[in-house]
Amino acid sequence: MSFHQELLTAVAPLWQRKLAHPFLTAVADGSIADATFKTWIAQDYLFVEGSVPFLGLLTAKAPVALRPALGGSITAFNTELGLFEQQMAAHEVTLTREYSPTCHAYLQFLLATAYDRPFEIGFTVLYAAEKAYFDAWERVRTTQTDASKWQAFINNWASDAFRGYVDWLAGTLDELAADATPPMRAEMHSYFRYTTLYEYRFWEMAYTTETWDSPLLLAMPTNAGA
Amino acid sequence: MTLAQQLWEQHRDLADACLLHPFVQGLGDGSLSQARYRYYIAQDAFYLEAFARAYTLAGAKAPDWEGFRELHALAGGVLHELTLHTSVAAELGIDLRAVQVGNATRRYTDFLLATAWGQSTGTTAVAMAPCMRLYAYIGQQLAQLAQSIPSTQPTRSSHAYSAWIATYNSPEFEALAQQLEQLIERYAPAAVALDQTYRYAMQCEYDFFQAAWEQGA
Repeated sequence: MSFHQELLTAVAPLWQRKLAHPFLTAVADGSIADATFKTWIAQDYLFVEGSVPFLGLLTAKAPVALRPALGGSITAFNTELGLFEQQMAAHEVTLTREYSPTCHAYLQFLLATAYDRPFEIGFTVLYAAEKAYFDAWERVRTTQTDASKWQAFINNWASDAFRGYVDWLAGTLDELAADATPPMRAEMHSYFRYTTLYEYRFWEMAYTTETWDSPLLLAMPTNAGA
Repeated sequence: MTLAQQLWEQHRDLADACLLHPFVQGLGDGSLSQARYRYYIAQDAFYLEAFARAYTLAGAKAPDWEGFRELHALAGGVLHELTLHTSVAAELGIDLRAVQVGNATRRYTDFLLATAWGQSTGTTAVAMAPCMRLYAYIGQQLAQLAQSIPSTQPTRSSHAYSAWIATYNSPEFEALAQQLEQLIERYAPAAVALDQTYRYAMQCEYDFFQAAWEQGA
């Protein structure tokens, strides 16, 4: 089994729970409330915007051979922000500067990881987040009954181009893991699981319209299998 | 009023919520269960390592040598605090190397490290001050409370957590808190959302107590 498959297997129950989240089910069957989806758009915009420095830090730590691709992902993120802005204008979503607790904490986690941990760990986090996105939107695309009001978002991630990028991340992660020490691989597992928790929590945040009075991240399951 | 005092007063609601939290009140009157205290001590040891590193990062970025020296000394204060934790952990039979880091702990240390690596010395001082000022406040308030309890038993005010209270009630700890607050006056950048940074740290403090209360139950 390849390393990235090992990571996915280790968190399989949580991963499935994430894909079955009512937010995604509701997008697929068209029942998602406008306000809920708009909460997600506004927070994910902030998240993508805040992830650019994370990619920049990763690029700075990357082996030379990986720099062009990682640099390219910064461009891709900026293009994605353009899609958000266009959709926000079309659907009258107001740009907010109010971070939800989960969005804020997730971004702090990305930055702390990129600054503080070795490149392999940051790259693992990037793979976890992107793979989570591909799987989530691909699930929506393959289960949706009718065209969605939010089709532009679904198509953005459930696309061949995005699939190719995620496959590249997986293959590169396998190569990094092959050269990594056992403690490093253990840490990669731990960060993969933790990122998966945040991905789960992000859907939850949008679906429940989390506020600063919510019980915050304490509500996150601590065990990947929970 | 100094900037540190303004920030403290502005977010006093959360500080008082911490003081009144059942975990903290349980430390005050000695009624806190050992299971909750054990969880807290283990998480706090992990937290303090990040706190010490954040001081060091802020020191490395200090605009002048004086700032570096002071932040280095503050990191030394944390190392001392950690020594106390290590001996408490040993007494309680906790293996600090085998601790599973909780989500509330992790969220706080991610915030501290992201701030210390990414922001200026002044902003990092703002992120760290709520911890120091809050603990000095809690230590002093709980010590006063212990003195004010009329008791027929001379040992009433002394309990399992008296040493914890004494640490944070000490003039030495108050001096460390003040030293950090003076760094805010010197280095805090104008026109940055310091208010949110301070409040977020204070919220993390509250959640830290709440997590210990829930996880140690």
